[in-house]
Amino acid sequence: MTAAITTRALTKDYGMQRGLFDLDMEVGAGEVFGFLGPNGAGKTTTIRLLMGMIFPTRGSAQIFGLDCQREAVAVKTKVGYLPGELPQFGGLRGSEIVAYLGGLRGGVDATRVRAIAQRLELDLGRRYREYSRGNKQKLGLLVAFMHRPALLILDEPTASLDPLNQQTFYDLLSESRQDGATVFLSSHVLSEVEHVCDHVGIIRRGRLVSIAGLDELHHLRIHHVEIEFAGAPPLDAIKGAEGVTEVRVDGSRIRCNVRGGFEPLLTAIAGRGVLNLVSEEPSLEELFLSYYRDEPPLESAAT
Amino acid sequence: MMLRIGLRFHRTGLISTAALGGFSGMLQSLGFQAVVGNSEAARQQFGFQMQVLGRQLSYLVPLPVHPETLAGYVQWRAFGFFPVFFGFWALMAGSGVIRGDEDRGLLELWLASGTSRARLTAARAGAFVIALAVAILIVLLLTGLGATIVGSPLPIQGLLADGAALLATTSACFAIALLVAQFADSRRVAAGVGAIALLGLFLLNSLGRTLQGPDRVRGISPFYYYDRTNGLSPGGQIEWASILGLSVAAIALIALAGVAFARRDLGAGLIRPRPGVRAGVTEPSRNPLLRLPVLATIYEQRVGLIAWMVSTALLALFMTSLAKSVADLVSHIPIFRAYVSGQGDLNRAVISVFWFAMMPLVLGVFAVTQVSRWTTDDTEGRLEMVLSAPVSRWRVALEREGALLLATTLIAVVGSIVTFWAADAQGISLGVGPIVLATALLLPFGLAFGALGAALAGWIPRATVLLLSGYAVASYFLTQFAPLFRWPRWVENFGIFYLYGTPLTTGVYWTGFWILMAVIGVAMTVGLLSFQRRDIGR
Repeated sequence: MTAAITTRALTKDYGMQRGLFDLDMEVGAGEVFGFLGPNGAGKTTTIRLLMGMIFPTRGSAQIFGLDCQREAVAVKTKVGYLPGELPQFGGLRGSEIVAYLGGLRGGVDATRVRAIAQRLELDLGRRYREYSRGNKQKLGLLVAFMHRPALLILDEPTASLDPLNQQTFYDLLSESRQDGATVFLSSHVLSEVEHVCDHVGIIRRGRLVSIAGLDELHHLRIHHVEIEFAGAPPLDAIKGAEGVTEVRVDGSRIRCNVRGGFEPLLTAIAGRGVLNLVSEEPSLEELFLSYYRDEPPLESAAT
Repeated sequence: MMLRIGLRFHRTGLISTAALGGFSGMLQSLGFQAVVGNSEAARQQFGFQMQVLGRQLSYLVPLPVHPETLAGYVQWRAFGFFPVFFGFWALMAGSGVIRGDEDRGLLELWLASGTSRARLTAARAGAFVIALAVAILIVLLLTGLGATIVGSPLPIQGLLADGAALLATTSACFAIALLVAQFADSRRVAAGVGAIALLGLFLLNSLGRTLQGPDRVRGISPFYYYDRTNGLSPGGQIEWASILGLSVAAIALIALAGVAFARRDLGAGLIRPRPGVRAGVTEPSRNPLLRLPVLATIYEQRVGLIAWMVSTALLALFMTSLAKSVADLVSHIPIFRAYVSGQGDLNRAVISVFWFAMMPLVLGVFAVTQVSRWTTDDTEGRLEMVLSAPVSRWRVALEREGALLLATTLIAVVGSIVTFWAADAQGISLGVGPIVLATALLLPFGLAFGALGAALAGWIPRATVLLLSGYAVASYFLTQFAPLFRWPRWVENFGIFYLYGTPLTTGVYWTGFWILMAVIGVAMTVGLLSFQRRDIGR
């Protein structure tokens, strides 16, 4: 698969361990890639490096084989961009902003603009400063999608959108994908990533923790397990099983977390009068949090 | 709490205004002995010369009273000019308080926290008055210190009265700007309309000093009441009634602004046109200007630009209308005849020396407002949005300079046309060729300040506007006063405006022209290169 985005040791060092460090990443063409991380993790820094707005301390980034810094203009012919925070356009009307930015880009189809504005129920006749936050976000999305870009770089695209407009956004994303576009979006919202992304990159404190497909992420997940025994639970055997943490006893019931495969736990409880066994997958949210806590709770809180 | 926050917001204005005013006051005190001469005859001649100069500058400052004394000189040269830059601070603060807070999203936050609008208005206005009082106190102390150092202490009562008059006048200017801002729907519009209102009141008072007609309506200008106190000048007057009246008017206007603020919606002016029933728009604008480089920027700034053109036209009309009376005075004083000698017709020379020497300052200040806009575009993320389109940084930077050049051309041309017409109406022939030349040679000054701003913005973005503004004003006064007070040539050359020469009467000053071109070339190159390599955004 051709790479839409490639970064090699991409670093932006702001000092005091803030910034982005040694990012090696590849996003395939036609893929929807989610970039997850808490505030200050480096998501926006990565996006602004890709857009050539800021310069890397070291390393490089390429979009469709073009260098993001040296060939920034050529890169942007292929990109539709939504910044994390929309700028002030003061007294200009929405229609004037679209005309102005469309004029800078060239070749924007008015029919496409009309179609997106109608779907997002965005009135372009109003002045920018009169727009609500949600309407400003819709305008940003319109500008990002209006020229049918080959790559969409979207910084927290559903922020401030109501559920109906979020669905419209997902539809737009899906259509762009069907047209062959690649999407790189950052988000805090894991359900959104689960909903639309093929692959997810997780970033923490400026460093990429993991890149995985959603299925692969599931393997990394922990499971909450509850086992009911006919007699006394085999506590020592369970505690000694590999991958088992946070063991809690409630009469003849045991609750614990299992990371990785079930084999060690099943071996430990085999032949011990198991009446019932329930295993639940935690949400992606819990998985996400387990990456971002200073001390992963599943291990530190192990009993 | 609100008061503390308000004081914090006025920190920059306080420091810069106190520094500028204090420096100016102290400099006048310390420098007086150097310019007045040693003998009584020299002192009297100096006083007479200053009286004449005072008439020329009557559009800007009140006439001097006993300028041959240190106190009278300081009253005229320092306190005469103070309302100009204290008024500028009042304008920026009046449009920034509440209206500016609103643009920054702070107002909603404060109102949501349970602060009432009346309390907010009182706290923000109170903070400004406190900051203003501190700034004036610093200015008085430094001015008084300068006079004490040279052994001629200033009368305390006069000094305090002048300070009180300045406090009342600046507070009134602030109140006017604050009230006007409640009718505007953004900070930029508030600052623009407020500037026109204050400039109009200033000019009304200035015209009243020299012409009969406006004298009757001068009373509506706060600057008129400021003029009525000149406590430092020997035999001068202290009109406490004017100071008190102005203070009461300031409080009343602030209260009125508070009422207007309480009755308007956030994000809108007090008077809001009733929204008509219209279908939603889903098409991009068909305005062709928005799709054209440079013209899109001009279109967006059209309201502000028209305000600049109108203000410049009014200033041109005012300055040109004084030409003959100033020329009459100049013809009687040898030192001033020398000042305009070799420039042919005296009336033309006066227009050349006094008005066309001010035009580069007007264009320089306009350019500084544009530089301020560029830095705001960068910090507020708008530049990021523009650069997300396939346009190079070179293009953006050059387009900015192009828009600046076009805007300064429009302002300069309007100013020159009005000057030409007003001079012609008085029977003064300026000649089409010379005025075209004088206008064309003005244009590089806007470009120079733009280029210097672009170069500085990559290095010290926060201080750029302040530095450039200070340099523009300092350059103007250096060009005006260095020849008069026989300051060393290098002091005058520190300013940029001497490079203009007097093209209306003596043709092109080629040395100055090429130096200016070099300044533009170097600054633009530095600015462009730093713009290529610097990080963009918040």
